[in-house]
Amino acid sequence: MKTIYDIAKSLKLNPSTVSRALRDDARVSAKTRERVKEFATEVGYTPNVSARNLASGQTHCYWLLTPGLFGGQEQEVCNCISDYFAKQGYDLMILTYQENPETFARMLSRLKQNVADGAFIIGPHDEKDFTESFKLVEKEPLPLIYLMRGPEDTKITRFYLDEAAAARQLLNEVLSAGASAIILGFEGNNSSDRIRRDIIEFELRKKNIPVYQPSDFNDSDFNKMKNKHIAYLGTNSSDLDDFNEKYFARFPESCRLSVGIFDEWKGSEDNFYNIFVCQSNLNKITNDASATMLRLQEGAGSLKISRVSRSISHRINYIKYHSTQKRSSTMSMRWNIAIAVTFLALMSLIATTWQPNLDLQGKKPLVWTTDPNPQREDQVAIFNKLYPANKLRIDPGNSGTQKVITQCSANMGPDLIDAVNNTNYQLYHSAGVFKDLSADAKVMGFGPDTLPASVRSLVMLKVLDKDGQIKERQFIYPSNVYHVFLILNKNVFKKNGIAIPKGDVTWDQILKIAQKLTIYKNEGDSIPKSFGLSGVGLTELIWQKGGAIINKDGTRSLLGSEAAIDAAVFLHDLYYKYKVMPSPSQKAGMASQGGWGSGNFNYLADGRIAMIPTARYSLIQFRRLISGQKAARKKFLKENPGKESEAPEVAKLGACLMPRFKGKKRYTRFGARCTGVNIDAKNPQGALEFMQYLASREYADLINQGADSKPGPAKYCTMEMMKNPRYQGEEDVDKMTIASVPFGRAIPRSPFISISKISRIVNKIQQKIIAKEDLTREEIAIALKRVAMQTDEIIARNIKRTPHLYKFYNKLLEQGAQPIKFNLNEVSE
Amino acid sequence: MTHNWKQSTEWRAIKAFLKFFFITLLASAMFVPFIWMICTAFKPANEVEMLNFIPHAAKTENFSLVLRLIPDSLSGKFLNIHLFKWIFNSIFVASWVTVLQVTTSSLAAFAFSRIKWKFRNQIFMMYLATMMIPGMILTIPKFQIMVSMNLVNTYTGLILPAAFSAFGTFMLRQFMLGIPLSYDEAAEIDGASWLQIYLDIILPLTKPGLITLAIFTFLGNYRNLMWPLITIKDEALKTVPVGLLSLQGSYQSQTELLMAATMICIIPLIIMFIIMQKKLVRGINLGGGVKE
Amino acid sequence: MRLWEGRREKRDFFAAMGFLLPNLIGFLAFTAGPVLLSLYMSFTNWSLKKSIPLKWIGFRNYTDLFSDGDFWFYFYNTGYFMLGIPLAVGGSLFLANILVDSMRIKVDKTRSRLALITAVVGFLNCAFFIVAGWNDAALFVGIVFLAAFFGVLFGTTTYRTMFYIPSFASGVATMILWMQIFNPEQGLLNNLLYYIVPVGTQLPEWLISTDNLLGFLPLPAHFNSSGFGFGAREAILIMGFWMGIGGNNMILYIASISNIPDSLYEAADIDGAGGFAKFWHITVPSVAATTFFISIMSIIGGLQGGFQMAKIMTNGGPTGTTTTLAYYIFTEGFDELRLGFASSVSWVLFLIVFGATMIQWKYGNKQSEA
Repeated sequence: MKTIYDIAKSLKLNPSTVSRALRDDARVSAKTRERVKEFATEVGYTPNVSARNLASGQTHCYWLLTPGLFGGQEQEVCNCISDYFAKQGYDLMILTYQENPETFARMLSRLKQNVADGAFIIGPHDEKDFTESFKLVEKEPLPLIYLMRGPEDTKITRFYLDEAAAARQLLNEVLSAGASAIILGFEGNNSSDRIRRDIIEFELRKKNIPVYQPSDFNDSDFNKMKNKHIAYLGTNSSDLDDFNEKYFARFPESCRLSVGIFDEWKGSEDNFYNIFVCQSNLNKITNDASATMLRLQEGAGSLKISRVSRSISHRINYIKYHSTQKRSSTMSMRWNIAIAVTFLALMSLIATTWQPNLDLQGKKPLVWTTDPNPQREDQVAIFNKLYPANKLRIDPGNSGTQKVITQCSANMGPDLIDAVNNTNYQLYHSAGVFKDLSADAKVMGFGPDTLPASVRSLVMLKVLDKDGQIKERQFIYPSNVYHVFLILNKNVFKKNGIAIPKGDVTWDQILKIAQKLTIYKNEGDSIPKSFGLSGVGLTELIWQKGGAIINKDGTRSLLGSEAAIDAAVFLHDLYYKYKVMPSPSQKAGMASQGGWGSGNFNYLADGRIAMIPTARYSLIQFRRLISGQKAARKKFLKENPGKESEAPEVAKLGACLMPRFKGKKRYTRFGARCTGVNIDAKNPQGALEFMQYLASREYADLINQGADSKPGPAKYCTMEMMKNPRYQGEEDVDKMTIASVPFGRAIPRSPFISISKISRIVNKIQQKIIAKEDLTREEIAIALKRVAMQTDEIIARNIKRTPHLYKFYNKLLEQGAQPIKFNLNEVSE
Repeated sequence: MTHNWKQSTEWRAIKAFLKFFFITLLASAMFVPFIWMICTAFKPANEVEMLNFIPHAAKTENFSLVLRLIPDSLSGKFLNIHLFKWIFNSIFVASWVTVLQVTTSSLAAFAFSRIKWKFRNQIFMMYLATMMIPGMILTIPKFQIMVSMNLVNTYTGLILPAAFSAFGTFMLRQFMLGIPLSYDEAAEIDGASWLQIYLDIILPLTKPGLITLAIFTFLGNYRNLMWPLITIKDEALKTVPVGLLSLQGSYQSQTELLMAATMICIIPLIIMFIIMQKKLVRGINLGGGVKE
Repeated sequence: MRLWEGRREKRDFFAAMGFLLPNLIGFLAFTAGPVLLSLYMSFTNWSLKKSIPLKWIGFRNYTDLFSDGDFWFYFYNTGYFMLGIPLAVGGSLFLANILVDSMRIKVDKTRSRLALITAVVGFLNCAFFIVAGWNDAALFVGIVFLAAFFGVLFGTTTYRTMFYIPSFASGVATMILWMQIFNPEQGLLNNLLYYIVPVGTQLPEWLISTDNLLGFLPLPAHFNSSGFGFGAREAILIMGFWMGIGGNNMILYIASISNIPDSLYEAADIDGAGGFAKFWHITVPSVAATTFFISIMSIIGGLQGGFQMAKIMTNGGPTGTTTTLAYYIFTEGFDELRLGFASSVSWVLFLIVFGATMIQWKYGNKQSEA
């Protein structure tokens, strides 16, 4: 065998160089290293271990002492550790001492002779004869580690399995599978078995479950086992085999025997009911132990005792698992189902018996779909009193038309239907929901002659009757009518020394006032403290400039006209040039500044907006707000008597007409909430009587007193009738609401395009105008013209598509109506 | 290495504390809108839309008003609100719907996930497809069907349409797909019939799914507005959402009363939720490890 | 066509039918019937207007809607709102993962002591704030400590409830609150942002702005997009995300995560996996079936919803940027009574969702061939 010296001589190098080269020392150049290594391989050089050991003081070898290799656990440990060390470049020598103390002692003494750098020791299964040997171990100078089991009282580093937790878990599994008695194995005399036995016995005594030793059994005991489920807990398969051989045959047939062991199952499964195996996960232990060993060897380790964390040292495998537990969980599930069924039955009983009878007493029911307003109660009660043959009740509708449409489509609609605005009216009419009331109205006194002139146009609808003639028919009657005018907060005016506008109010006037009343807290603030005006819309401005949204025949959109453009520009200026109305973001900013909440009414009551266009129904909200203000003022004065000027204000309401542009006519918005009769009403007579009621004095009184705008009939809209003694200060509002009636105007209904679409289009363009600050007149004009064209397109398409509308249109043309913009032939189908 | 810092109890304690801290903060932040609602229930009318949480002048009259204990100060009358009747109706309907939905859906989901039969996937796609149509367009045909069955304005009419939705089937099928087929096979070898497999093995293992479906169905049905609104004509049948409409009038929205009423109506839901979600804890399953 | 191949399959088929039947009957009567009816109607000019007789018009409804500029605008809006779905689903999963464990301190003594400490500290803090006059701050602090108190006592039940309740108890008032939060000048959000972003950047205008994150795309004029920024759509997205992550999806995820056997996690521990690795490699694949379900339901919900929020908070504005197809169906169907047209829009929506589902099915549904 060649030595380093031989190689050195052959290559003409220094021996230390060769040695370094073979060890890949960086002080030698790569070329030389290669040369040396190649040569060494060629001549078959093998390093001299002992020499190396002498030189380095290390053997690079570790020992593992195990009592035997027949156990699965031992095998796994050995494999793991040798793997680990092989990866690190060390050797592991595995020796068995075959449970023999003498062999053990001999190996220990060999260790003293520097044959290894450290040793693992797996403790014996039976520690009976090993006390001396353990004492020897204590004296070893080498790093030593006890693995898996061993003596309890020792200073040596130990890596034991968490037998206690494993045993507990196995026991729990067995018990939850239904075992009612336990037979304990664990005969071994070693730490593992001892711990397992102790723990299990302890737990069982705590739970009061009978526990037996195998040796306890005699014949009578076996008979007691009939029909019982017992479990045998033992160390391993061989343990079990012993028990099996000795006792199994003597168990009665009906007894179920489950088994719980550790490590692994070897053997037949036939005899046992359930088989649980608790296996240790040795990876972590062995890895940690090996790493610790290396540390100890470097002298950096500590001698602390280490226990493996509970959660991962073992897991339970089910070799065989019967459904005893499933049965018990099915039991609890059955209980749950029983409870649920009883509960449901009980509720159903209550539900069916607890049905208050409608108490019709021979009256005919009448259903009115409207919004569930607190004022309705009175309205319903008085009707029932006046027309005792009927019993009216309210079926609340949501804000949309969905409910009524759906119900009517299946003929289950209400008798009386509210059409909150023009849109709904058109909708319900075209859906054929409303009954033609023209004849009955004249007879029963709710015809159009009872209404003011301007309101009549709202109620009458042009229809094409079966003769092909265009007639005006009535389908509804208004429950209340509102006209818009300016309501103002007199306190703001007084505080700023401005006179209340009266009489023939013009936009110049109002604009000047609004500018004066838009007050900034400090110079250079971006948001004024209060605004002069808020809530003016595009529609009324277009009218006031002399234009219209759509022509009176409903065939053309007039949004692109000069008047409309003027109006749009004016609106834009209100926001950005005169700056008298709060922009959307400014409005949002006002909400958080405290006070009486957002919404125009609240701002007005607060004094943060001076004037808003609204109608008499706003009194409902104002009454509430003002009474709240009064209460707050009273409370303040009670606590701070004499401080009148500091007390919170109570708003005083004033009103004036909607302004007009110089040289142009005055127009203002108006609308009505109307009620119609379902064509398929179940109680048509009662429905007609209700319509009569709407035109009656009693109903008008309710509306007037409740400030739900004005009642329909003109003769009931007087100052005396509107006055409600409970509330002061409303004279101006009442006066204006009557004075505004002649100027009321609404968007005409076109049979060719729905009003909701028109409103949506107008809203969108209005938002667009308000949104951006820098918008020139040209840009506004372009936008408006485009929208007008859109509208015309829709009209043309609708006419072309619907034969009924086509006929109607032709009839209108005959009567001299203005034709539509687009040529029908050019429009696509 | 015996002393792994990551595993020591100190680190675990710190981790637990951090997790606790983080989740507490996040939950509180999420909870703020709800607190807003509670505070609004105590506010007088003028403070409802202001930013402050705690009312400047708190009053409990809102609750008394809503429970019909005192009359309204302005009109002198009791409010036309019958909270307990509405709550009873809502609970009744929702319970029935939940029970029907859970049982029929779990049966159907079992058929779609465990048993192999021809056209299984195609029919399942059909189920799924029906959920993809926006619901509101279906209300009219549905209502017409209800009318033809004479079920309008009855409890049955409220319960039946909601009880047979593809939602439950879809959801439970997904849950059941998570259970390995080896359980089925093991049971079949033991000679179990499909029904036994369903009752003994699959159903217990799907318990989290069943509980979740029950929670969703109950809550969803309790809050449903559109269908009861269309179907109910009698006062006696009103459910909570329909009843609360009366507090959202077109002239005045009395938000503070609405909040007070909502608070009261939500209490059964919260109780139900707390009870049921306790069962959704990790590790209640049997899936510890069948011999693979 | 053979429905079964042998005796075994025959038995299976009948068993399946038996299981399916209760659900199937109700399904056909109350769900499938209306659906098929609406399909038929989408090819007609169905309208409740008595003046328009029912007539089959074939595909005209569909050609109409595809050539309607508004349709594409609302379609774009709807798609926009769906961008937030992956984030919301991920958020729910994240939350669910934390809330699965019971988080209960096992030792009774520690638990009660800790609860007591929390209560006392919280009480003192609140008292301090109340004395200082900051009522609202006192409320916030009070909530946090109350949550901590209940959290210590009851573990994860508290947190699950706190996350879930807002998702079903939110009403109109919460929308008002959110409107205030998004207020460009006084709102909470912009006030916070003011301190975070560099000086001089313009703070977003949220609900009144038509800026949006995709504003840099060249879109037709009537799409009303005014450039890059955070506008009404983003506000609604954020609000939906915040209100939604603690909702139904979170509960679903809790339920499925609780179904994953512990042994998988133990095995991972042995392999030395850290928290995130365990989440990514065990939790996420195991709940794949649930994720499939949630994403499909989210797409369905996304296409049909956003309705209420948009209606109350922005009224579909500003200038229509938050109007979705669902809203369009509603207005066309119930305001214009063009029910045939509305049906066709619904079916177009259906096709979109169906397509998305098919894609998901291919990728996410490996387990269906179990």
